[in-house]
Amino acid sequence: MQRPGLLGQVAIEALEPWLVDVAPWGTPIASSQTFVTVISSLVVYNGQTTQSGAAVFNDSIAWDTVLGGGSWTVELMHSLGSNRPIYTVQVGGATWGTIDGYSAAAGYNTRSSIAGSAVGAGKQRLTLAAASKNASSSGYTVALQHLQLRRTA
Amino acid sequence: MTERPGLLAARTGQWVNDQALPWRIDVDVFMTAVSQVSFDTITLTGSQAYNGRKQGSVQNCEIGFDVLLAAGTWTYEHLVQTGNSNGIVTLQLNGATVGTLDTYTAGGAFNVRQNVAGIAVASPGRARLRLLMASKNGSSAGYELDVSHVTLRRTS
Repeated sequence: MQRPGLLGQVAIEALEPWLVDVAPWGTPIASSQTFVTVISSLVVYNGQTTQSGAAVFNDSIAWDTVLGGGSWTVELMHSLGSNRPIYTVQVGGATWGTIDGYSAAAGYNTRSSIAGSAVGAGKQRLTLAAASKNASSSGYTVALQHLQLRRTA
Repeated sequence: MTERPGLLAARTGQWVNDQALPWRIDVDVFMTAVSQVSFDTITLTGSQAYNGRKQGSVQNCEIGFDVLLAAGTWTYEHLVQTGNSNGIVTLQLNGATVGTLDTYTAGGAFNVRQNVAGIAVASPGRARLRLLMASKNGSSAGYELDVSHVTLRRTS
């Protein structure tokens, strides 16, 4: 078999990632309003992403990622608070689950994950939407530190 | 199989040039690792990049990440805090040891970059990168590892 290229060739499946990190500091591919980075010495990465304007119901932020075909876990590192929403997590338009950001007391570097969702290979849009809130929460203020997608199978 | 160099049009049965595989992989250490033993504590420090570190502190604590590596030669690099209770970390790829790095220093320092170069990867695909705190410098008081970031660079 001919093997052109400096290092030969590999099956295309080998190109598909197993680990995708999303730092929320940059401009997202889509969002309901402008999101900004707020410096906080209380969190790893030294900052968190939140809405620039008033936080409202259904505020959302999204990033495009390339995933391999298989089962993936999505994990969110976020700051808890009394005015946080329940995040609806969507990948490729399908809702994978929700993560409640509410806590009466502030909390930092909280990792919350949704495991085991199947996805097809290729570009997939990861969306977080403040589509609901805990009955005790006073608002929809998003506070994101990091997102990660991990393929498990 | 029909050879189709450079094509990305279909998944199964197609071939692509592995030059397209990543040459640099940044591993975020703060999120949940794919495997870990006594290595999941996040500690804030205003003196360290990322404003924190992930910490293990007992002998044989370990943390693992799944990464997609191309065949070739790779350099591993981490950003750590060194100190007088830090250990020697053993680096493994798919269970095979590829090097060790001593994170002990008497005085301690932040944002220290250490690397292992010349790591040969024979075939492309998923690899489990494992950091294992198996030993320590004779002068060290412990087996601590304080890591803030990991990078893998392909050099050829």
